[in-house]
Amino acid sequence: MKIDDLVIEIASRRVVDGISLSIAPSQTLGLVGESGSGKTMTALSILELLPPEATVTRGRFTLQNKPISDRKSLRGRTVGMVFQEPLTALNPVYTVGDQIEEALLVHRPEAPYSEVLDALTEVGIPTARAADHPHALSGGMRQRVMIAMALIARPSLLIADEPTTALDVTVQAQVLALIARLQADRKMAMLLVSHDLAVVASTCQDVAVMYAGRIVERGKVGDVLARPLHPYTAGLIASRPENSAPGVELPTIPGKISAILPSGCRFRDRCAFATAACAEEPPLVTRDNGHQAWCVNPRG
Amino acid sequence: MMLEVHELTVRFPIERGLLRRSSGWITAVDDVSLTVKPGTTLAVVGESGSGKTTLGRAILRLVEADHGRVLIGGEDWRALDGEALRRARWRAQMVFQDPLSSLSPRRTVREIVEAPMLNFDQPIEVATLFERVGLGPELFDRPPRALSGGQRQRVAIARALATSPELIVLDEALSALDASIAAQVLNLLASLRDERRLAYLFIAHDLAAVRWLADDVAVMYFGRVVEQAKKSALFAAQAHPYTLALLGSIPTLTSRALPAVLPGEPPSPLAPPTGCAFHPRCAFAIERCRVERPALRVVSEERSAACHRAEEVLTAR
Repeated sequence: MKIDDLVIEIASRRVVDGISLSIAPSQTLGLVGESGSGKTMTALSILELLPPEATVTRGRFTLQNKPISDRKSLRGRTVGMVFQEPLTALNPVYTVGDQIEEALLVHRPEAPYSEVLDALTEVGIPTARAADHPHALSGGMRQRVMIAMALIARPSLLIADEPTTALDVTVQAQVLALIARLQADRKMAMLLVSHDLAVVASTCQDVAVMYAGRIVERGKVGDVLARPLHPYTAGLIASRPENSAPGVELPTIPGKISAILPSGCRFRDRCAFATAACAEEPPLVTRDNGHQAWCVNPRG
Repeated sequence: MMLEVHELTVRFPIERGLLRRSSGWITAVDDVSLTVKPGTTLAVVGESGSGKTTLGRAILRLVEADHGRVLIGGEDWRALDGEALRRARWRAQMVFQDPLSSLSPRRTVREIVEAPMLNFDQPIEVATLFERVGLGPELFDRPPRALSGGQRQRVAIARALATSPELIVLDEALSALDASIAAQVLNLLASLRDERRLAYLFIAHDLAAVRWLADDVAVMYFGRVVEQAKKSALFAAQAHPYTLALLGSIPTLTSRALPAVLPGEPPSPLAPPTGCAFHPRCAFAIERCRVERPALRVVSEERSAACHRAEEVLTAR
């Protein structure tokens, strides 16, 4: 899957501004950023799931080098999607078995119900729970049901939008291990959208960091986290409490994303390394290992 | 001690049917004791349903406990009745996870921060308070929804400080914030604690933040404190298998491996396990754990744990 020069606008404001991404078969790409970075909008646009006020005004989507004419047709069959909050994504009045069956029959109307039970078993839920309604399940089990539904038509790409953000840390570990196992079994690619760099570190090979609608840095996870080039990525990593001695003041990124974005580099009003040159569009810096950042004064 | 909690228990009735007849009780907080000194932070960690939020609410009497004693600044908090409680409330304040739902939407942030001051005859300059928490004067007359998440949490902190409290219960106060904003708020909380000798009960699930801010840590599982220790001791080694599993399940930036998996799910409060509540998921469980509930006991100078095999768990790894 490739995305080129994607622009998404809400009320003629660009919330995603000309980003490009590619995900190779069986690879996992982490898309990280904070609220308002545009990471979720990017993920939703792939399957035309954007809210009504948001429109894709530019961009090319290609799959195995062929342009995609109807992105909706990818839903389920080619691309599965898992959301942050399974309780709102599942229908409260139907049993989870019925909901998985519905997803199955859309793709293969002749499929037997036993495949629903197989899907539950595969995500580690006892088949007896098929008769339960979503509210009767724990948060972790509901997310497993969502994963079973997303994967029932055997897609080649899974988009997971903050799949463990609403879960406790021990349940998060269970769900991440499940996703990793299914991904390896099925040789499936994954786009993992997350605000948590540590989740990305433990699950992804590649990472792209978004800030205010643009990708500011990308590369192999190990390279980006160990030697970040962009001051925003470096600041995000440094501000994590585990990177400071207890009680020693945490290095922080001052301020917040401004409502009126500056010209040139959008991070420059919060950046300790900003110079006059940052008022121009930042240049692309590429290291030998393919590690890239858009910055006048890269770190590392 | 600024806060002393002795054997606090909170139960909720299980209501069934149209008449909402009570058919039994769920014990949300079970025999919890803890203390917090002025100028220090006790972190309470544990998962959803572990009782940590109910504990914080019961201490401030936002829910009523069934039994146990709570002393705040030496005052017998549970003995206070309506008017006396209202007059004493300046001592202990709370900051919640989601400031948008805990701040009145119809008021400006200035009115929100001034409101608690009107109840207590303590003149504080609102502008000074705003400046201290890092809010500019241009925000004073705006409603909470016109502020960012980080700014709203600063308003909630300013409101909590308005009565010059001695104790602040921070209930997942950082959970809704982006990482770069959470770091700013953590710095603010630490400096306020140190300059005002505030006692914090820091209810949190972010163990990195706990490690950075706290002095002591209480780990809760299924309503009980299962391990309680000096922060440095707790992160260095764990005496309860649940603490061991909890710390092992956190992903880190430096490890490219998936975190370890604790199998199973927390028990249902409607069908509590016999013996130790953790035994169905515990790699250390023996027959005794199924029949005899372990008491919280002193394991070393810096640590208590509620596990029959705490000494073996400590040296396991």
